[in-house]
Amino acid sequence: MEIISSVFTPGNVRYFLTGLEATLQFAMLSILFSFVLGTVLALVINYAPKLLGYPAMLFVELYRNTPLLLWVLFGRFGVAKAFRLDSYMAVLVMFVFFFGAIVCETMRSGLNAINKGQFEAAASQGFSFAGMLRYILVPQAVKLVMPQLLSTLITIIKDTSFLSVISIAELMYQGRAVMAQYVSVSEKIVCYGIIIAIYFTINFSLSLLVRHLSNKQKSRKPVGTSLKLG
Amino acid sequence: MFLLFRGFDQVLLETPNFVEAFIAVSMKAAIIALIIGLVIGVVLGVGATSESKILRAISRIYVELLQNTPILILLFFLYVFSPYVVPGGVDAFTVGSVVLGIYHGAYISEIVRSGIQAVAKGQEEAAKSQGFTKLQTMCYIILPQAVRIIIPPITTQVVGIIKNTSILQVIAVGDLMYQAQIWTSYSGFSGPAFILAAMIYFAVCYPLTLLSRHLEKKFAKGYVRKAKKATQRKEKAKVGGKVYGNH
Repeated sequence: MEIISSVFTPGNVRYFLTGLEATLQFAMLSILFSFVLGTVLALVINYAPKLLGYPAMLFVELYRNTPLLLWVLFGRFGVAKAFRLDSYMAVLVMFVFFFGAIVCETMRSGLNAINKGQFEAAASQGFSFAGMLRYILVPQAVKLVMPQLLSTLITIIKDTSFLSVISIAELMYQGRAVMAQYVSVSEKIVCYGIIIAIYFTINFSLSLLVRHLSNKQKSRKPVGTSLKLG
Repeated sequence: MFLLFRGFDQVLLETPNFVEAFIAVSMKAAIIALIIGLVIGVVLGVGATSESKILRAISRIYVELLQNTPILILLFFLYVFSPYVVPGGVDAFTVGSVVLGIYHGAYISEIVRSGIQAVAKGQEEAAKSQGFTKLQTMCYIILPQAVRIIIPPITTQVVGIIKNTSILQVIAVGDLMYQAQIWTSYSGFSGPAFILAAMIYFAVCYPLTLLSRHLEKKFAKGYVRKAKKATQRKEKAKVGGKVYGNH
């Protein structure tokens, strides 16, 4: 039990909490901006003229088929050096592009799942196309794919661990810094256990939420079904 | 903007080295990880649908634990503690491949589980009525049908495995990302190596993604058309010739 008391010192706990705060801050910024980017991309690919749609699709395919670590390193060693940016901002931009592509695929599946009748009903009420998007389609699409968006948030929180590779002080980096103080194996295992437990708690709670939401959706009536005649 | 591309002509000279590193290290790790992942995935996927509570619990715990922790932590954990488990230590490549296999095994087991559960329940009961044991039912009847449902998502997982081999770079295995970073640090040009690496990853992963979409369409069509025809036949028989399709 001295292991527990030697690892759980106030200094160490403060280290972990600082890291956790940095991780969550980065993850929240990422999901926010990548949601915006992803929605814009989805709308452009689905509804904009092909001239804009094809480059957007190229962007999405590029980021879907390349690893995130590549872009993290590119952001740190490529972009940050070339433009003399702060590495945090550069890597945040890379994260936003990467997860924007993933959110775009999700939103496209949501938009495609809405019944065509919604378009016609909206047009018959006199909505402009932009108005249709803003008031009717995007809200419905978001509600449909909310579980998948939360899953993407889980993935983002897990992938913030890549930032430790480029020395940004998020949770895993701080955990390894704490671990470096100790020499004995059992203390190192306890440190790792703490890091894994923190990630697991956050992600598992989110995944329970995802499951709850998707069960609730399954039992609801499907969106925009037309009346069955006969 | 074009500062990023400066030095691109020089990195193009390095292309053979990059590609060789990719094939010799990244793809090898990906294949080993795929094999390990498939074995773990099938065993746990079948276990998740079994009737024994213990097997289901083990599968559940494994999947939840691995799907909610970052792969990098798993990698460091096993890399640092491998000398204590296997005396003499394990080389970084093996640790990386095994970790990839373990991590993706969880995702593959979920795919296998949902594939098995998607095969109609009647098959299992029919098999039981014919006297098949549990294991025989699984091997001869359910798994062959589940394979058709499983293959498109597994192709997507293969793409994920190939992309995740990039984490091997962190423990200094000479894969594509490692080469790219080494080139960047000793040549002084900031962008081009990563752009070339991105092109190589894209050239390998994009065809697989297209294949996965093609397979999904192909496998889905056969299933749906048969089911739709059967329902239409049933409706026709019921309502005396009038078929009310869904509006």
